[in-house]
Amino acid sequence: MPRRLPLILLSLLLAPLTGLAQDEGSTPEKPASDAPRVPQEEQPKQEEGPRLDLEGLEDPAATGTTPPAPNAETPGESAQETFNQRLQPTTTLTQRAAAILDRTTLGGYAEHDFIVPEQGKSTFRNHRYVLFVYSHISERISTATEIEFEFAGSPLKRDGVLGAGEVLLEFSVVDLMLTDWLTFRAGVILMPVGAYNLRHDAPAQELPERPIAYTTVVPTTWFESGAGFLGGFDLGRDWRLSYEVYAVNGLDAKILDGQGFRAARGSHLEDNNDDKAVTGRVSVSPFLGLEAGLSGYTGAYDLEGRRVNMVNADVFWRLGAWDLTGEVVRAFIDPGYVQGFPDGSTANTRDRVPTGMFGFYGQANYRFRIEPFFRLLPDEWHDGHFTASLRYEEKDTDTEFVTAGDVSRLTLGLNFRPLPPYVLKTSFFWEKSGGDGQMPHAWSRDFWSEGHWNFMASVAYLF
Amino acid sequence: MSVVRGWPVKHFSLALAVWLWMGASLPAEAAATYFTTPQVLKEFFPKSQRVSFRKVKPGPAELAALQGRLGYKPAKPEYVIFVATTGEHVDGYAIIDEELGQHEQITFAVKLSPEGVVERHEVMVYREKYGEEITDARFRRQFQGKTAKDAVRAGEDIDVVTGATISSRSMAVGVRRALILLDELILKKPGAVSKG
Repeated sequence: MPRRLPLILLSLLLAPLTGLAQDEGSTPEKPASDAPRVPQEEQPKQEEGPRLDLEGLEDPAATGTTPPAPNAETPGESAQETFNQRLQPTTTLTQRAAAILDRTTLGGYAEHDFIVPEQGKSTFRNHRYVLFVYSHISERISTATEIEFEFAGSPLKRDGVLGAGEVLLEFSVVDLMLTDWLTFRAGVILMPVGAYNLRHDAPAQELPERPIAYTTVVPTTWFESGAGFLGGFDLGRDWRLSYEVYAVNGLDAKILDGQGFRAARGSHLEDNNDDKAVTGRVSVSPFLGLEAGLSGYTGAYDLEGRRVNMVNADVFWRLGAWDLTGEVVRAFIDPGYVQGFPDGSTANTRDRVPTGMFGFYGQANYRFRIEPFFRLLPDEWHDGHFTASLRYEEKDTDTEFVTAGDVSRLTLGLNFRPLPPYVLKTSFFWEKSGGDGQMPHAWSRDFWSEGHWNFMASVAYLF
Repeated sequence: MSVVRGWPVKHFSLALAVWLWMGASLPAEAAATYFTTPQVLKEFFPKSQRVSFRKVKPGPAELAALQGRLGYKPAKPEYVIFVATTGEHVDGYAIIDEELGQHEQITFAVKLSPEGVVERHEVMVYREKYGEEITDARFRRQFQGKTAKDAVRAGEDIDVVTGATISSRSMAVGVRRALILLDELILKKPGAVSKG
């Protein structure tokens, strides 16, 4: 392995250059209207076609009203030059900042809740505020980071005491685009196990609570430090295939009934063993509005090589005003203990880890409008809509025993979305756990007699 | 079995290196800018003799009509409408415009028939980090055949791309605006336009 490592590294370094070199000499074909989009340097020559009388026109697209000269700089080269200038020692801090802002997008999303449980006190909860920073380093290299302040970050007040809150990079990657179907990604990666973890942003979701199996068995937001590849390509006229595959540090041995893998995720600092976990997802979409994905994870969780293997299936189907979505996940865990951390770590115990986990959800969303209501609203909200949602879900974070970690939940939701980036959500769920030794299912009689309810309202927005 | 140690992993690493080499040796393509203005016009009207443009500045009455039909006031005080002709015959129209995506403006072009039917939609510049699937043919193809009488609304008669809801909606809003602009300012009131 060590002798071959330089070969692999050399391949990684030279491969994109080889692609670029071939690109310069390629003769592009004229694209048909259905052809995949190609960048401007691939377009037909400007001498063909109609005579363009554009004199006096300020370019509405700001992409140039005249064809590029044969040796003109491409946008990528221009960006590269600007980037090189930033590195010059004579460049002032202000100039560097201006150059960065030119190519950088700032944004984010936030979520604020109001919770009324059947038992306990009602409360507002400043759930999360996430800042996005997306920046193009060059035409082919970009970086994306999300900085999350959960519960207003640090410090967090609980029981009258200010303690540590949470400020985390849950996603921070740099992408190297090798071809239009192959991108190399490294950094803090969103684990591609299921669709929910990849699309968990609150404004994109219709219900305020995440699915219970997808905060535990798949511990959304599940992030790990690693590297790998992603991309997608068309298969024929309508089909599209997308993939992601990564090697990551992976889960450690803090695997517990109830919270599943939640405490075992996250590996910013270091791996707890020499094994690198492998994870990936492949999805196919036969047409717009239908997507099915299959994903998995395999990796050792302790120093003895005991493994977690996980498989997940997901589907999304849009049928007119209906969105139907569902996922199912099954985890297989080698018998072991909550240990495998460095010697002397207090995390080493003799507590057994669960040997299996299971969870699923099925959700239906129905979009509708009440026209007289929308006519009363300001103009910019006229295209808004309401969404009614129904979700049934179960989680079992230790398949060997029936415990309080087994939960089933039925949720009804109604939300109002005046604009796509802003949503007011309400939900009411009924839930029962297996704390009484009975496996909870909605079709069990004690689901209704022994369960409890919870009401939640939430505002989520994207900016 | 360790994923890192052992002979299967060595072979996997070599195979990965070869695959990467082969994959990256294919023509590499940069994203973001797909068409300049001349390129998209030549692409839209390859058989026409000439493409010129008209600058259209809606008056108060036209603005009121546009606002009534669109549900909002158009952002620009003046719009450019490209006209493709062969001799005296109008072959079609094109409108290039911008609409805000999740964070950045998306520059797009719409080709319309002389009767005001969408014949083609193209994304010219896509600046967002995510959601580029809206440049796929299967999304753009949905706009073909739409007229000013259609809703052209995301989630209604335009299917949105999963994971790119806002960009999909932006394109629906943009194409509908192009349809209404042409209908209101050129097709219904040809006398109201001034030649640029």
